[in-house]
Amino acid sequence: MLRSSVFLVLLFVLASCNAFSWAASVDDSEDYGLLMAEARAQMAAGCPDKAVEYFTRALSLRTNDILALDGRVEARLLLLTSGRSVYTAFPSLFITNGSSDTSLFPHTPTRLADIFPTALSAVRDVDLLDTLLSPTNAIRTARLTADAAVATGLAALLTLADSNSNGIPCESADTFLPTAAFTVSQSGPAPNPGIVATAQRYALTARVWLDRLESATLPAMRPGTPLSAFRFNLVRFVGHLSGVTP
Amino acid sequence: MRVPRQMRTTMVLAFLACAFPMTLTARERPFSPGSSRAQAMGMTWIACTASEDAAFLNPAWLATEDERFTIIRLRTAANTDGTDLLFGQTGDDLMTFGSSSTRGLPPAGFMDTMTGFDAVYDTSGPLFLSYKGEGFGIGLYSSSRGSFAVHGTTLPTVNLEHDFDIGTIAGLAIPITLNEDTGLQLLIGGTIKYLIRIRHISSDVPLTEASRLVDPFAFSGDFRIGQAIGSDLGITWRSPYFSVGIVWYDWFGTTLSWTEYSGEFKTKGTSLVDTHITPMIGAGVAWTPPDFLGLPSWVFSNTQIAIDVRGFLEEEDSFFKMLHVGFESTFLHFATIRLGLNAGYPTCGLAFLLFGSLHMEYTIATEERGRLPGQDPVTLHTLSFTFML
Repeated sequence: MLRSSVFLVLLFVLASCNAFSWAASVDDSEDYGLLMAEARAQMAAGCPDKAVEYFTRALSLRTNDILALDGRVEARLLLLTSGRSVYTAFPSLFITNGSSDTSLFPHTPTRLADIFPTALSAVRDVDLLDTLLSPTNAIRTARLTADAAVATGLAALLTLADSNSNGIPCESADTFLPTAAFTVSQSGPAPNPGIVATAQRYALTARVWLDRLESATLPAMRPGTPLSAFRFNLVRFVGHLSGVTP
Repeated sequence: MRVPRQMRTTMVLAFLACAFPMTLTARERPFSPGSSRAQAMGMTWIACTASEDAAFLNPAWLATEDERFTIIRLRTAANTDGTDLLFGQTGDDLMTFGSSSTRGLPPAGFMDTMTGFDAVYDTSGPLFLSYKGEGFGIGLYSSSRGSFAVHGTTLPTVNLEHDFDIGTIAGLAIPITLNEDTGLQLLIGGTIKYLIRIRHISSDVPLTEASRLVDPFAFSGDFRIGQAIGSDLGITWRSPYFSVGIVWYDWFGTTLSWTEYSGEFKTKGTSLVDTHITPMIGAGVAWTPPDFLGLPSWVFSNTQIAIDVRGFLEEEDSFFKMLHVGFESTFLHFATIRLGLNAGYPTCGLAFLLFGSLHMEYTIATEERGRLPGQDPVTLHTLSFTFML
């Protein structure tokens, strides 16, 4: 019985292991299709970091390729959330009754230091895609629009949270922090005016992305949904940012 | 007679055009009712074809003496996400999530699952009729294969692709005895087949609207129907212990011509491009040892070891993707154990013969969806019930 159980467990574990995977590699490949296939396979296998790497290599072969850019945005969002949904990874973004005494990000500064550059890279990708895609392009899906909104919104909030511009948001040296009520708490000298302006610009851009989702009359943007709550929160955040005086 | 050089070139080009007519166009899934036996044996079938599948897999085997009438086959294969969708909670969760009452904060666990949900399912039947006589065979089957993939961390979108096939096939084969003393025979067969493929594709549907995709009573999307006629040719050398076969599937190119219909079953005027089932040549060898590890035949019988190499005409990136190895042996004339290696992935199956005519089979097998071995595996669990006389 024990032997049979061990055999079955081994079989289930080994079923997806390939005896010939040593025989082929994409490491030296210059084949765009192969790199894209590998990137998608890595994403499906739960390795978005490797997916980003392969999408980037595909982009080095075909500059501004929209499929590779779209895939890289999706992979970067998976990196931001550690493979989970944004509603689980950043629940406070989608709640409208958060307290102004609580920090918006419960994550450690080290984790936020990983998230911040990834969010900024995702924003660069979606901005580039926005310039490449016509308004009716099929790549412009609801998923991409929502990804763009969340990445840009996160960039806005993290830009302000990194008020000393050292790349590590929400550490003790950062004097301005976004709260769970989307207000701005101040514990020291005001940040560089450029930081506030950048955060404001990101927040307004994120709102534009959410407005596009709403104009598509998707149920996901109806009142009471998480994404509509996110837009409400961003509007509040922009209002509070305008009150920040450097 | 000497053929002029220009004519020879033309003939070679004509042959190549026939053999490789659409290597650069869209590939279609082949005509097949699916076989859990082949799945369990690492997708080997050319030199070890089961009688009930001879018309579908290697028409040369129609020339053998045995007779087999298969009335029904119910086969369901799915990966883990596919099982969750077909039999688990996920389908219900999608329906609930799609209803207007729960579009508020989504359930965390459900949304986390939906960031990378990849359901694959593959069924045969309930329509399955196959008769194999001595030298001829006919078959009629229905099968379906689909995938339901969800991806995205913010607003997951769904891609649904579903094919429902109805296929019919008829084949003839002749045996040529090469040596009566050694029992060496040459079997030659061919089939002609007709396929109707009904396809439904829904791309990038927001998850909030995906409930209609999993609700069989709310189907309203456009679909297309393709029809094709094709043919396979097979040749097999057979001795009591060895067999070697070569099959040329869809040798003249099986082209599906499509018509699009609205959800109300009205023809749409959309012009659709023909698609093709790529011609494929496969070769296989099988060894049927007289006993298994010296054990008496009442312990282990019908032992076979088979190797197939298929896909010579396809643009495969690796030889190992074409390689299939399989083993089977029947224990106590009741339970058949099957093992294999399908393009590098281990496969396994267990089959029981009940009341002399009902086959129950379970298989675990992994398919390669990527271009290289090990790139993008999908592991399917298959249950199959076949009633044959």
